[in-house]
Amino acid sequence: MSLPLLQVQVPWDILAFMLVAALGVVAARLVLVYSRRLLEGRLARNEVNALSRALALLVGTAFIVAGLPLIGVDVAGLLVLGGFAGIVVGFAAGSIVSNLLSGIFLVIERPIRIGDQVEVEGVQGYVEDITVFSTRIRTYDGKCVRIPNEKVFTSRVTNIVAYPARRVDVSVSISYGDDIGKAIRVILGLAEENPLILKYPEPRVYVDRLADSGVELAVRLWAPTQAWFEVRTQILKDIKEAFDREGIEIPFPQLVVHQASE
Amino acid sequence: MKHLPEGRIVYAPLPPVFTPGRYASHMMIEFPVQVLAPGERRRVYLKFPIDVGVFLERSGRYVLVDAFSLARVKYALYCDPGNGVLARWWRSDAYTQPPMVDPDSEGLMELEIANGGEWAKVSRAVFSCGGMPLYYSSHAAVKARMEVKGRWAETYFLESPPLEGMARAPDPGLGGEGRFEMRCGI
Repeated sequence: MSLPLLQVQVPWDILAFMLVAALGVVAARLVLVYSRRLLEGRLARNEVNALSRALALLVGTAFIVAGLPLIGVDVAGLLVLGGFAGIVVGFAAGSIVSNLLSGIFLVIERPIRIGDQVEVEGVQGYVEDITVFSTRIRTYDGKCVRIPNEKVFTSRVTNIVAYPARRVDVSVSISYGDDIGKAIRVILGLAEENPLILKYPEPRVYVDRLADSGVELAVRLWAPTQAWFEVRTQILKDIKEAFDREGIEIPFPQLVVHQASE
Repeated sequence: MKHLPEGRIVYAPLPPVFTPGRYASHMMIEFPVQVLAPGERRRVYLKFPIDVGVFLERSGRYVLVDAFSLARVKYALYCDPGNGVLARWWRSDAYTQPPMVDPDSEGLMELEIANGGEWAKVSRAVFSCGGMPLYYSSHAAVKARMEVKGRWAETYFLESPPLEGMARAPDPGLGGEGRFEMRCGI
């Protein structure tokens, strides 16, 4: 008696598909881990999880679709269907997708961070939150402004606190009868006394304009960015008080009228 | 009004970056130009400003509750505004022997300048105050080193008391890098 010979045909196509699918799983896992690492701290935790999973799912699906022809599945129809669906979604949810993509690019490029003081679309304030769809700004007068990420991404964004020091620009007028050198020395002395007016870059005071009512002095000082407002308000007060002490006149607008004699 | 738990109040010197607020983590000392020959090592003594820390101590652990300075306070930017760091600024003479310091407002730095390049002119030193090992007894003191490497230099503090019997000041928890690369002029 002889045993029947069992002939096994190796399904190489199925094995190849499974290999591609396994690679897809590994790639998706890597995307999940690295996207989480990249986004952690830049977005809220729930958004990090959602976005990482979505990216991983996208990568995994791409691998599986790419492997389908190996087991004889025609993906041409699937791709046409996907393309058509893409166009429909693109039209229907164009702004949502645009905001989402802008949000992702904002998170990667990081022109602004939570806590920064910024100016976007004419809105000034503190960045309170950056989500995948919008950026929330708390204005200096305590209002909350939500700006879609598409606007943040495509418009001019000024980050006021990007650098450690910021220049304070002040303009002061003195009368034509006053000693310009003395006025400049007084202002530079005040700058030297103020601990938050930086030694370097050096403060500069110079005649900026010979105006109608007086000589305009431009004052250029540098201060720590965090103390910019404090320094600006303090130096204006100090200049006024010092000029009063030193007898330097801050002129009112005036017009000299000559009357023709009879 | 601060409500503090039980403990001992301790006054100790602080790195000079706590007043009038936390704006900087570095210290810049300017001193008369030192010309160093290639390979030369020179020890100079500098004065630097200190802040005074008010610590609460309990079971050997310290927490900083307040800080003030009796020294002149002035800050400066080292480097350009785009890449610079804010530093507490101070001007000092460069002494060959330890000078007298005002213990309430000044500390004494023993700085070793090592020139590893060609002829060098050095007139300032910028330090990162992260982990600055301040020691004190009748006055505050610190040891530091500046390694000149051509047009730039690296600075750092040394973890050893400048004089026997000096106590290590409590760590105010500044954190950050202890070394600093002076890439914008020395």
